[in-house]
Formats: sequence, C-alpha cells, structure tokens
Amino acid sequence: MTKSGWGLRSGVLGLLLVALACSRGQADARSAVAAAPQAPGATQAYGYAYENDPQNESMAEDEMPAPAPPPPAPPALVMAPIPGSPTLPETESAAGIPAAPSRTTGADTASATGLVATDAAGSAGKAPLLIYSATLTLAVFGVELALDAVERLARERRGYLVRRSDASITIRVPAEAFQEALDGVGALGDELHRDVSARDVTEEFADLLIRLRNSEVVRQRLEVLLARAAKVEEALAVERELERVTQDIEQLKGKLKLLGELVRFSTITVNFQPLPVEMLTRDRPLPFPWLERLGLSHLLSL
Amino acid sequence: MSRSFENRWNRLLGVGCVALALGCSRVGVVTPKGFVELSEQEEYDYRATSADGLVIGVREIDNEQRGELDFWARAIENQLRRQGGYALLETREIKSRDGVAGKQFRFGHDEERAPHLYYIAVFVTPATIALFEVGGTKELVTQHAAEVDAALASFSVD
Repeated sequence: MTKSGWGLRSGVLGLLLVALACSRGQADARSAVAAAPQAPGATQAYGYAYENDPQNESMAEDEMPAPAPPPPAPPALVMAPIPGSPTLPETESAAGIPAAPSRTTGADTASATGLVATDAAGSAGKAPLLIYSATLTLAVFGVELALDAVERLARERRGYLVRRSDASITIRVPAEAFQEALDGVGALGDELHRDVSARDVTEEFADLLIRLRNSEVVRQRLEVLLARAAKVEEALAVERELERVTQDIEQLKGKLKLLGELVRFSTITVNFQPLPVEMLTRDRPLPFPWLERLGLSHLLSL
Repeated sequence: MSRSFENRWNRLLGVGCVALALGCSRVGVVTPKGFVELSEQEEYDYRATSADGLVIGVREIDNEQRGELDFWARAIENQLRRQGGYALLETREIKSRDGVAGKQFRFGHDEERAPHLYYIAVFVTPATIALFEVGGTKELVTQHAAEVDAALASFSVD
C-alpha cells in the first residue's frame, strides 16, 4: 500500500469517527433543547406562547434570517462538542434564529381571540420558536372590498400577499403584528369562525442547525483529503463525496431559511363563505324545511 | 233577505272595497307605492316586486311546535349566518301593526359578486310564525328604504 493510500484511508476512518461523534452530540443537543420548557399548548389551536427570543447561533451568517425584534437576553443553546474540530466552540451566542412574536397583554389577547398568553417560556429564559397561523371565515358580503382591505392591511404592517382568489385571501405579516392584523381582519365583516394555531419548531430548527454544522465540518475534512489525494481515482471519490455533502448543506440552509421565514412571518387566511359542513356538526339542521328556503335566492326568484 | 242583514253585508263589502283600494292583500300588508303584488304564489302567502326587482315576501307558517319568538329568531339567524354565509348587519326588536312582538334581522350577502341586502322579520303567536322578507341589491334596498319600512309598519299577523 502506498503512503498516500494509507493516508486517505486514515482520513476516511477519521471522518467516520467524526460522524459518530456528531450523532452523539446531536442527541445531547436535542436533550438540551428538550430540557427547555415549552409553552403549554403551544402546538394546539388557541394555545399561545410569547416571548423573545431564541437561542444561539453562529452559523447564521449571510443566509440565515435575522431575528425580528432584538432579543432582550438571548439564551444559549449548548452545542455538542465535535471531537477533532477545534474551530467550533462548545457554546455560541444567538444570531440567525428568528424571534417569536412579541408579547401582547393578556387582556388584549383574550378579548380578541380567546388566546391565553403564557409566561412559561419567558420565565425559563428560553422561548420556543413558534409558527403562527390563523384561518378566519367571514360572511359573504362586500367580498371585493373586504379582499382589498385585507391586502392593504398586510402591506400597512410590512407584510405581503401570498394568494388571492374570488372568495379567499392569504397574507403574511411579521409575527409581532400577528395579533393586531388578526383583529383588523376580524373587524372587516361578520366573523363566523376563527382558528388560530401555533406550531413549535424549536426542536426541528435545532436539529437542522446541528446537521448543517456537522455537514460543514465533514466538508472541511473532505477538502483537506482532496488536497492530499495523490491518485486521480482517490480525488474523484473524494470529490463525489464533497459534492454530495455540499448539496446536503445547501438543502439544510434552504430548510433553515424557510423555517426562519415561517417563524418571522405569520400566515392569515381569510375565507368568505358559509361554514363548511364539517364545522357545523354541532349545528345539525333543524327539522323545519322552511328554514332551508330562506334567503335571497328564493325570495328573488319570481 | 232582512234589511239588517243587507246593511251588514253592504258594510262588509264597503270595508273590502276600501281595503282593496288601499292595496291590502289577503295577508295583512299594504303593497307599497311603486310595487305590484304577484299572483299565484306557492311558497309565499304574499309577494310584491318593484319594477327594478326589489322584492317583498310574506310567509305564514303554522307554529305546530309552539316555539317562542326567541327560538325561531335564533333558528333563522343560525340558518342564514352559519349555513348561508350571510353577514348579520343589524338586529332590531319590532312589533307588528297589531302588536305582536317580533325581531328583524338585517343581513348582507353577495349574489353573483354584487352586494345585496336581505331583511327578515319574524313574528310569533301561539298559532303562527309570520315572516316578512325584503331583498334586493344594496343600492335598491337603500333607495326604497321608506317604502320598505312603510310596508313592514303596515303588516299585521292576525
């Protein structure tokens, strides 16, 4: 065996050890995240949790979204130590992870949506990363004007239009303006139904972050190995691996960016329609056929 | 034929003629000026329309269940708002000309993307549920508000 071949194999063995250590470290980091208290009911409809701001992190760099409002006291997320990687510190400061919506008063919240604010996240110093979304059903009256008003409302709050059709509109507004926008939309017409939910993506975010950093370490190692490769076949093998890892990194960055975007901007969908049948299970039709024949279509058909 | 019977008959005939002259239909409502009463109505006990298509309708339903005003008012509101997608704009406590308590709901609804108004008043007696409906484009209902209010004010249940 040539000296260079031996060196390459040692390198591959080293990489395997790194990967093993990383997966252990990932588990440690997951448990660190899991140890952070979660807002009760954060993933349920009408569950709500506020507080600034998450966590760490250095990977941030150019692609990662900046946190919405600056976090008052960014809690640290302990990253797993990666053996043989002197470039990575064990703990890093916050950056690049978007903020949860700012706190509103309990009274405001309760009056508008019946949502209950919670201190759980804040009191422990770590806030969950939440994706807020809401669907409102408004009665079908003055729909064109109401659609325009919803779109305007989004723009006025630095949000944007996602989709608009004849009887439905979806907007996205900065998370800190979510409650205000929701109230504004509800006031545009006769609100028949409101569904608000918050999805906790803290763990998902941390996982992606760890996988990204591990992949970056692997890529660095592969680059070193490529530089050392003496034979063309060895260089090609390392390059293939390098390409795969680079693709992984790009995908992970994309997912993190998307997740960050979803946390920073809350989604509000407004439907102008009668309530769907599945929402009317509690209102079973009364056995009086004449009720079914009320309304404009009957009255106006002469 | 006795003279007294003849007098009574003449009086009744006279009242009938006056009622007809005033535009009274067989249900207790006066057809407003600018409207014509439609004949041969199946679903409605009375229906009248303006030349532009603003329609007034009256239905009288047997109150077999002996439901009270609150029950029927709630049932109508639920039906139109939740199942019909009508926007409730206003609710009014009202009385018919003969003193029966009622409730009027003023709804808005888009028909073929044009905003319409639909008013429905419900009056309840132990024997009857009376419905007084008005519907048309928002513009027409607003334009004929006085005639519509006059027709409702003329409505008597018994």
